[in-house]
Amino acid sequence: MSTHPDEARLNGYADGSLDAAARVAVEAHLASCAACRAEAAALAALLGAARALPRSIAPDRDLWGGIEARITAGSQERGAGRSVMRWLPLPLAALLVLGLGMIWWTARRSMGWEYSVARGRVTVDGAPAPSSGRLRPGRWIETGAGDSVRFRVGDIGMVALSPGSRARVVSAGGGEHRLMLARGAVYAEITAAPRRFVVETPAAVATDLGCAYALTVDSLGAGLLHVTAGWVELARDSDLVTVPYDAYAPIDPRRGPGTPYVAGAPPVLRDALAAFDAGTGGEAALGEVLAAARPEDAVSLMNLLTRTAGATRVAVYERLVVLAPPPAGVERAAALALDTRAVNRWWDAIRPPRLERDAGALIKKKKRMRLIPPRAGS
Amino acid sequence: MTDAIRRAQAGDAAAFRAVYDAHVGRVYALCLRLSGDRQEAEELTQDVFVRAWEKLGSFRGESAFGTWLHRLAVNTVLMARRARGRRERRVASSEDPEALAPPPHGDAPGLALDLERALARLPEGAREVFLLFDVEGYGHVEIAGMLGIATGTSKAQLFRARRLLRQWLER
Repeated sequence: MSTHPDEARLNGYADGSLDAAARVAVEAHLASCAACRAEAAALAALLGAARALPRSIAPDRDLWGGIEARITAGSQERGAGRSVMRWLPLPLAALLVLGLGMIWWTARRSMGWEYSVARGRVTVDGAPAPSSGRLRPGRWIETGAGDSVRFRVGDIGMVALSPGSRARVVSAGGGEHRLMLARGAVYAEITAAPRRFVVETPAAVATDLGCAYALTVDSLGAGLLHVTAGWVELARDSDLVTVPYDAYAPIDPRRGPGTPYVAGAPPVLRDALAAFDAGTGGEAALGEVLAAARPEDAVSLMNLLTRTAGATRVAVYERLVVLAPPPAGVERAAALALDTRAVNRWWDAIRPPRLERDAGALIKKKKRMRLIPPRAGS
Repeated sequence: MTDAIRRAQAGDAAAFRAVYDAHVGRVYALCLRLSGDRQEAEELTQDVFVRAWEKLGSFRGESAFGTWLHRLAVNTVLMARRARGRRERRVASSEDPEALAPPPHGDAPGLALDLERALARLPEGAREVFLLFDVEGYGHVEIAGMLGIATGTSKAQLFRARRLLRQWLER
């Protein structure tokens, strides 16, 4: 019997993408191999079912109303624009719009953030800086012991840089504001759509999902995130954790984000989480986490659900179900498969989204920025 | 080019309604399968038609209007989903979906998942490639361009999707 075709070849045979010679070779093999024949038949059945899916599905309701409202509003705006642009040839008008857009975009990006020194003095690129001004992207700002500085982040919020910090604005505007925090602490209050404010640290990246938080990092890259309102995503490459309000997430200089825990989590749980994250505790550490977890610690377990696999994930799921039963409609299979909707609904039950929406209003009520370093997480 | 499209290009919203009626089912099916969520699919469908209205002037009739609209819909949906933010990203897809524990047999006794339900369970990347290749008929080069991935990744995602779907459907 000839060699079994590999997965790519068998798939190519099933979907017809193989060239003629390869196809003949596969067919010759199939003639003498029942196992591969069964594989090919199963693939063909799947592809047949996919092709037989209905091409058209009627929505449950008429969607035209919303479309009409938007295109009517858009037409009025465009009409106003046409009166100015109508005498320009189209390519020239397009170039003009593009050019103005680029100038505006570049200007926004290069303008940086307004700052004002709250206490002491600061340096920019090593030189003493005025007590207020604008920090342009690419320039480093440093605060000494006892110094602190506040930034206005475009029109989306405020950031405070604590004593002993070194940071750089990476981008300001163009849809995203981004700060690099090499060491020290920032406190951020952002009222914008998710993902418009990002803080990079040497070992992890914190992306704002509409929130207020404090983030510390030492000169080796170890850090701690403390979210006080809304949500933050803390990630290193594809490894990410979700940190809701009243929760902490450690940052390890080598491994990046650690599993979050809530304020007041039992020390035994935090220690076991640290051992599990470090890879030194293994199943035993996970067992300790699950045994020590209280209903409030569902925040940790929800993150563990996405950070584990196989039987370990099942064990986390079983404990979660006891501590924080999933809302109706969140099925076991969907949760274990990390179905986005199922997991989001479960999150919403654990951390109600109403509070998330209120976070912006709460922040606006505050008279002053808080310049407190994050607590140690006890 | 049909009369309704010509009139819509000239700014006739009523004519565009006729275009919408003729194509909404096709667009909605695409949005529903790519998003796996009815409410999101409704919003995406509206986004697609608003964008189609804005872009209608660039349709010159070289291809069938349905083909043009379909490609516009795919691009709009993919862009919107990439930009939609937190709710999709709150959970990272597993790097290795095969490592996921299979749902226990006792979970839904006697109920085999049908293909639509199984599709909705696929990790986002695998679902997108499977839908675009096996259901919508795009090639890997085109898909790679749309998703901003390498063609090898597109193929790997396709095989992964087929493998997972077979696992679930043949149980």
